[in-house]
Formats: sequence, C-alpha cells, structure tokens
Amino acid sequence: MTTTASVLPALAVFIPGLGAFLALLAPENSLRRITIYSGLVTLAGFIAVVLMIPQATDGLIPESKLLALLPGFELNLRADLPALYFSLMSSALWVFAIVYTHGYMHGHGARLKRFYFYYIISMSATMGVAFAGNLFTLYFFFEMLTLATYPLVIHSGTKDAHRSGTRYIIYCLSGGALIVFAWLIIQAYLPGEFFRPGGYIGSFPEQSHTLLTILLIILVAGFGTKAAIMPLHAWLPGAMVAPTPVSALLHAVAVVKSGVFGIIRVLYFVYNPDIIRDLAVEHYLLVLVSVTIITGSILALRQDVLKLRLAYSTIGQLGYITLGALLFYPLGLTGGLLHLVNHALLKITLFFCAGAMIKETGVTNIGELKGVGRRMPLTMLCFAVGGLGLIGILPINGYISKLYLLQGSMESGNPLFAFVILISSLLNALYYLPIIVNAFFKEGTFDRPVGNESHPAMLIPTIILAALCLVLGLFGNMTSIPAAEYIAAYILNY
Amino acid sequence: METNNTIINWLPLVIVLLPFSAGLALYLAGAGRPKLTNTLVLVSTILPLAFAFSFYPRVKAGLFPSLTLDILPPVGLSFRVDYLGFYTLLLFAAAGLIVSIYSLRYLEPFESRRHRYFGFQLLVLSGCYGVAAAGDFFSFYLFFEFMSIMFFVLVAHYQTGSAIRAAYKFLIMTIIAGVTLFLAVAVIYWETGTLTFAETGLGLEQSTLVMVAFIGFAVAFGIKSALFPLHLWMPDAYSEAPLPAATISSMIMLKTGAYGLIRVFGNIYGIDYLAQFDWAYYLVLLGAFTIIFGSIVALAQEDLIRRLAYSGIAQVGYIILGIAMINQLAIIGAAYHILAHAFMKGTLFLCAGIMVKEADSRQIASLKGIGQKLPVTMTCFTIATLTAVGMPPFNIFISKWHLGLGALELEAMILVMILLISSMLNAAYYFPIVTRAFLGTEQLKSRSEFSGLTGNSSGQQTAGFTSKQNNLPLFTEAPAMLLAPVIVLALGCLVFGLTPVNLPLELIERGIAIYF
Repeated sequence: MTTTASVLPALAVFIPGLGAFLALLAPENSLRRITIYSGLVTLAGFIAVVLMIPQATDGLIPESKLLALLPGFELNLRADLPALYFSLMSSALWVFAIVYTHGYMHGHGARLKRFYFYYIISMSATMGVAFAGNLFTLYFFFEMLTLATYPLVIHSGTKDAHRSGTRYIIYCLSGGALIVFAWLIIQAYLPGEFFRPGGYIGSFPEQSHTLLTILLIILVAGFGTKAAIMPLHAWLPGAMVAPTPVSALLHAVAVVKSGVFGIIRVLYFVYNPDIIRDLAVEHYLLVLVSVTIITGSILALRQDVLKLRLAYSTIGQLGYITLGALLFYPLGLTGGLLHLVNHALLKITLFFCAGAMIKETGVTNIGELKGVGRRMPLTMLCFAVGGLGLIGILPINGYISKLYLLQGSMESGNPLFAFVILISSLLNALYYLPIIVNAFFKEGTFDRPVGNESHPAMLIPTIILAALCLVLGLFGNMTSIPAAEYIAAYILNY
Repeated sequence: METNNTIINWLPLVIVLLPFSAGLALYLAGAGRPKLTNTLVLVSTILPLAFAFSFYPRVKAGLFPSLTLDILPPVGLSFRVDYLGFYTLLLFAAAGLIVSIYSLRYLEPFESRRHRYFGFQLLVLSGCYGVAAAGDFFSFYLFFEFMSIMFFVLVAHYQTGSAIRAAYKFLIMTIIAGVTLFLAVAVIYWETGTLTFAETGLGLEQSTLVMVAFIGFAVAFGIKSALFPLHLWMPDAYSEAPLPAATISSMIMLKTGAYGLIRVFGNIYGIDYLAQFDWAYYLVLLGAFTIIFGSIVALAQEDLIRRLAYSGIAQVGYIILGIAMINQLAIIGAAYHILAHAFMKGTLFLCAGIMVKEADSRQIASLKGIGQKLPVTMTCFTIATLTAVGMPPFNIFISKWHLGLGALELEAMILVMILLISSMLNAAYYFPIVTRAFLGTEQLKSRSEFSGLTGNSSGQQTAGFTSKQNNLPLFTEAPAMLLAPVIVLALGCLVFGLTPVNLPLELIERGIAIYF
C-alpha cells in the first residue's frame, strides 16, 4: 500500500462542510429547495468517496495533508481501506436520510435551515472521522461531530431536549477529553506518527506496561463513550429526544459507529493485537462488551417507548462490533466489520419505520402501536425485515455477521462469546417480535384503521433500505463479505 | 459408499419458487378473488408434485438432480434430490396437494383473510419443499426457518386472543430452535468448512464443541418434531390454527424435524462417528418417554383435535426413537414412519375436520352417532385408527416391524415393549371414538351443515343423499372436495402394504444403506 497525494479525501470532508452553508441560502420555509440543495451536497460528498474506490483497489492510499499547526501536529486525511469502508457506508446513508428528512419535516416547519445545516455538517465531521490519518485528526473531527450534533439533539427546544442535550455533550466531551489526554502523552514520545496497520505504539521508548495499559484503557473509554459501551451509554437513550432522522442516522449509525471505528483505529492502528495480548487487558474488555450486549438487550425488553427500545438495542448491537474487533482474529474482525454495515442498514430501516409511524399516527409507545400493520402495511413490513434481520433470520443480512462472529469466537478459543451472541439473539427476538405480531394481528385504535402510508419521501428510502438488507443477505458473497474479508486481512497483515 | 452421480437440474428450484411466488402473488392480490385463489393454489401444488415425480427415472438410476447457486453465503444455496430427499419431497408434495384441495373447500368461500391464509399456506409449502430438496445444511436451515416463521401466520389466522397467544408461543419456540440450530450449523461449518449432504459424515474431530452442536441439533429438531419436553407449542397451536394448517404441520412440518435429524446422523456426523458416543442414547430415552407420555396425555383429552395432537407427539416419538437407535433397520423403520404417520394422521385430521364441522363441536362426547351421518368419513377414520394401532397390512405395521427388529438387534426388549404398549394405548384412545360414532345413539342436530352448503338456499334439500321429503334417516356426506382427499389418504394408509413392490420402502432402504 503506497500513499498518493489526492484531493479526494479533502473533498469528501469539505464538500459537505462548506456545502452546508448552501442550505442556509435557501429561503427559510421552502423545504423543497432546502432538500434539493442538501441532497445535491450529500450526493456530491458520496461521489467523492466513490471516486476513491478505483485507487484503493489499485493498492493506493489517497492522502490529503491539510495543514500542519506545528511539526508533527498536522491535520491529515488518509483514505485507507477501513476509512473508505466506513465513509462509503455512512455517506450513502446520508443521501437516503436527506430524502427521508424531507418527508419527516414536511409540515413540521420550524427551524428547518438550522436543522439541515447541522445535519450536513455532521456528515463532514463523520467523513473526517473516517479519513482521519492520525490520532489528532481523529480527535479533531470526533469533537466536531459532538458539537455539530448537539444542536440537532436539542432541536425541539423543549426542557427535556435541553436536559438530554446537556447530558449528551457532557458525556461526549468527556470522552473527547480522555482521548486528548492520551493523545498528548503519545504525541510527546512519538510525534508525527500516523495510523498504520500494526500501529506505532510498539516503538514507544518507555516500554512500560502500566503506561501502555493505562493509555489503552483511556483511549478505549474515550471512544467507547460514543460507542455506548456500558457504563458509558447513558447519553444514548437520552439523545432519542431528537427528531427521528437524527436518531436514525446519527445515533444508530454515524455517531455511535464513529466511536466503534475509533476503537478499531486504536486497537489495530495505534496498538496492535500482539501488544494488547501482551498487556493482557483484552479479556476485561471482552467481558465488559459481553455485559453490554446482554444488559443492553435486557434493558431494551423493558422499554415501552419504541425509540428507546431501538436505542437500547443499538447499545447491544454495537457491542457485537466491538466484540468482533476485540477477538483479534480474522473471522471475528470480519464479522465485526460486516456487522458495522449490516447493523447500520437494519437499524436505520427500523428507525425510519419508527419515524414514519410516529409521524403518521402520533403514537410513540409500543403498547399503542397495535394494529399499525393494517394502517401502514408497507412500513411495518420493512420494520419486520429490520427486526428479523437483527434477530439473525435468513436470508436477511444480519445472519452473515452473526455467523462470522460465532466462528470468530470459536477461532479465538472462546466459544463462550458465541453464547453471548446467541442469547442476545433470543432477547432480540423477545423485544422485536411482539411489536411485529401486535402490529399485524391485533386491532388498532387509530382514527383511520386502514389508511395511507407515510409521505413517499419517507416510504421510498425505507423500502430501498429494507430491500438492500435482503440483497446483502443473499448476495453477500459478492459484495460485503469479500470487502470485509479484504479489509480485515489488510488490518491484520502488519 | 456414496454414489456421487449428480446432474444439474433446475427443477428443484422451480419446485420451491412456484408455490413461493404464487403465495406471494395471492397475498398481494388481496381479498375476494376465489377463482384466482383456486387456480393458483392448485397449479402451484400440482406442478411441484409432477416435477418431483419426473425425477423418478433418474433417481432410480442413481443420478441425483442437483443445483448450486452462488447466493446465500457462506456456502451457497444448493439443492440435491437423493433417494431420501426424493422420497421426502414426493411425500411432502403429495401431502401439500391433498391438503390444499381440502382446504380450498374447508375455508368458507367468503371468509375474510382467506387470501392471506392461502398465500401463506403456499409459502409454508414452498419452505417444506425446500427442506426436502435442500442439498446442504445451510439451505436446509434457510427453508426450515422460512417455513416455521410463515406457519406463524396460519396459526394466528383467526386472530382471537388465544390464537395469537398460541402463535406467539410457537414463534418463540421456533426462534429458540432457530438459534440453537444456527449455533450447531456454525460449529459444524467452522469445524469442517462444508455442510453438504453429499458426504456420509463430514469427518468431524472429537471435541466439546461438536457435542454442543449435537445438542443444538437435537433441541432444534426436538422442538420442531415436538419431542418431550419441547412439545409445548404444539397442542395449543393445533387447536387454534385452522384445521388444514394443523394437518400440514402434522403431515409435513413435524417430519422436517425428523428428516433433519436423519441428515444430521447420516450426513453430518456419520453413523460410525455417533456410534462411538452415547449421545444418541439420551435421544432414545426421550423418544421412548415421549411415546408413553404422548399416548397417556392423549387418553385424557376430551377435545378431538387435542387428542390428535398428543397422539402426534407420541407418533413422532417413534421416529426419533428409531433414528436414535443408530441401527439400519430402526432408521429404515423411522424413515418409513415419516410416510406412514403422515398418511395416518392426515386422514384422521381431515376426517376430524369434517366431523367437527358436522357436529359443530370438537368434544369427543358430542360425536356419538356421527358415523350414521358420515359413513364414508368414519370408514376412512376407522382405517386410519387401525393403521395407528399397527395392524398389518397397514403402513404403520411396516414401520413398527422395522423398529421392532431394530430394537431386537440391539437386544433392547424394553423398547419393543414400549412399542407394544403404545399400540395398545393407541387402540384405547382411538377405538372408543369409532365405536361411539357408529354405534352411539345420541341425536345429532337434525339438519346437516353440508346439506345447507351444497344445496340451494331455499330450504329444499336436494344435495347429498338426505331426503327430507320422505323423512328417511339416510346419511349425508361431506362434499366431494373434502371427501376425496380423505379417501385418497385413507387408501394411502393401505396401498403400500398391498402392492408387490413397496416403492417408498425401496427408496428408503437404498437411501439409508448409503449411511452404513
């Protein structure tokens, strides 16, 4: 893999970063024009990412050096394989989400421009997280993501929203503070290092196990805050107060997966599996993640508010990805990477459906969603695809990542984690199936028992995403699996 | 030794896709199209049977129609119709056709949600055909799960509180089965890198994980075939589901569990491998216990459908017991019992459907004297009960004979005793129904349900054999579309024992011989 100077990584970050201001140019109450502007901006960002794929398949790493504040203190964007993988997924979902948001905001009205502005800025920050070439850049965009999403969390302006927003920002900024702390220490010893497979911590002059262990724990905790690893998860359910497009894209995909992505960067690009095994901390982390998986699923069972149930489910599912990354074996890492995409698609589908139902019926509680399957059959069908996919039913894509994770846990000689995943699958079934069953087989109490679906701008992206879940499940061996296997091999071949 | 002669053939895929697409189309077309329903259901159940039959010359010659598609990672979707698969596919396709014809008449023509019922019945059948035609365990798993989840909709069909509860119970147990099966499949795939049915034993190493996988298989197929104590979903599901759906479950879906277990024993682990351990011994115990348990509980049931359900639990116990004995004769008996029980229980269920409609009650007590009203139905019912008891030349005699021989070969007299006791218990809970139906004197409702359905609505009774004008207490019978499937099934209980060549038995013998 050789580095080649390219403007594309910078474009992927700056097109949405600057394009967000375009949304401000539109007249305040013209939702249509705001949508068109922001749609074009996100699409352009997505295309910039796509254009990097040919270079990546040629074995090149496009790199944009932005600026050096001090020697060894530079903002540096590098589109290596994991970066491309993550950015491709999230930028594509941004295009879907912009269309969806049009439907969701239809008739909501207030503070539209502000909403779209920050929504697109978050895309820029997420691209930055993906393409960050060193720890400093990663930290920079990580914080930017926090700041850009804060206004979205408090969008409704209610007291509740502000309280949740405050909690959100305290958690995320504290996580950022941990990262900057660890980064400064590493920077002091190893200036000017950048992410590379196998990491660079090995050349740390002070070969002190204690220091390396502490740094690792601090970094994982810092990124783990956004990845909602227990006990650092409390902000995520609170953030559900945001409008559903925010919950769907940011708090099920972009923000939380930035956290997971950061953990992968730390584990494999700063540290490497050999060093971490040497430090003997991975078992504690694995146990923590397993607890997160099970507890998240159990807490999800107890939620009656639909979005909260989805949020706790996200906590559990993020644990799968982290678990896969922590197993330190090709199959496990492949499973984690696969789940990064599979869960993103499934969960955004679920949230899109939830948003459509909330908007259309005004109901937020699961108990009142009885009969909604007759009211909005297509939406509920997509919801069923998402729910069954997360349980791991064939042929929806979720089973592939589970299969790889199961094999990864056997490969690592710890089949117990296979049981963690299976028990969590059962719990998934227990909290998704009642929603689906009651929606289709119980009588509803809606004003119009049989009525129209949601706005087409919401319905169509939802259907396409649900279909994508099926396509990735059936044709995974031509799409996601080779990609994930290739990237896992790239990461582990140091 | 395995004959690895396979030929590429797209028909297995067509057999699965035909009912699948027809079912989907039927459901999406919406309510109120009885003609479309009839056509689609008949076409998409007759053609698979015909296609399945068309394999016969090739399978007989030892050429197995196979197909592998590069979808559904990690091993691809594959079909392979070997002796055992052909036998099972043929049985499922025949049963699917017969029950479909029956259900077209059984469900009232303008019942609401009728399109959904038939749509999902076809989806279930496509899953069943897929199970029989699957060429590796992952494809098997796909169809197995699909079939089970689609069946949920049939159980919940009436949408009453109790129906939804029963369906939900079924669904949760299905998911548990799915998860344990997934674990087992993942372990086997991890250990061997393949899941194909073309080998007799995948050459597994000896490890704890492999044993865990065995438990996973046993639990998953135990749930599906209602092995004690995993049978909990079944009686409720049967009594809440529309009767044809319960029949499909009894004739086909329970058998997919048994079929899967044979595949696990023969193709995944290999007989030699399992013979080293005593894992199967526990299944023998469970199977034997299930036989006794199911029979005794069946005795206590006053509800006809529940009695049939518990009797089914006992009967599938035979199959599990036979497989777990790991002995050529016993496994042949078990595999033959798949067919024997399907015909026997199918007859009973479909007869019960007619009787329950006529008497408008499912209580056994209220069926007194019904044989005078429905003599043909009750005759078929009687044939099936004689089959259940295991009289020669009926089918179950053949399977019990093999099971008994297998038990004797193992010198397990106790198992032979259990088979005999169970036969007696069968007699004890079936014969009273028959004697009361023919000899009971209690008055039934004077007017037949079916005379109203088949005749004109003016009150003039012209249909059937009932004549109100001269007040002759002659009998009435169910319409032909209900009766014909019953008669065919009843003949099926008998015919294989009488023909000079027992085709299914021959297929099974060849299929099982490969494993030994």
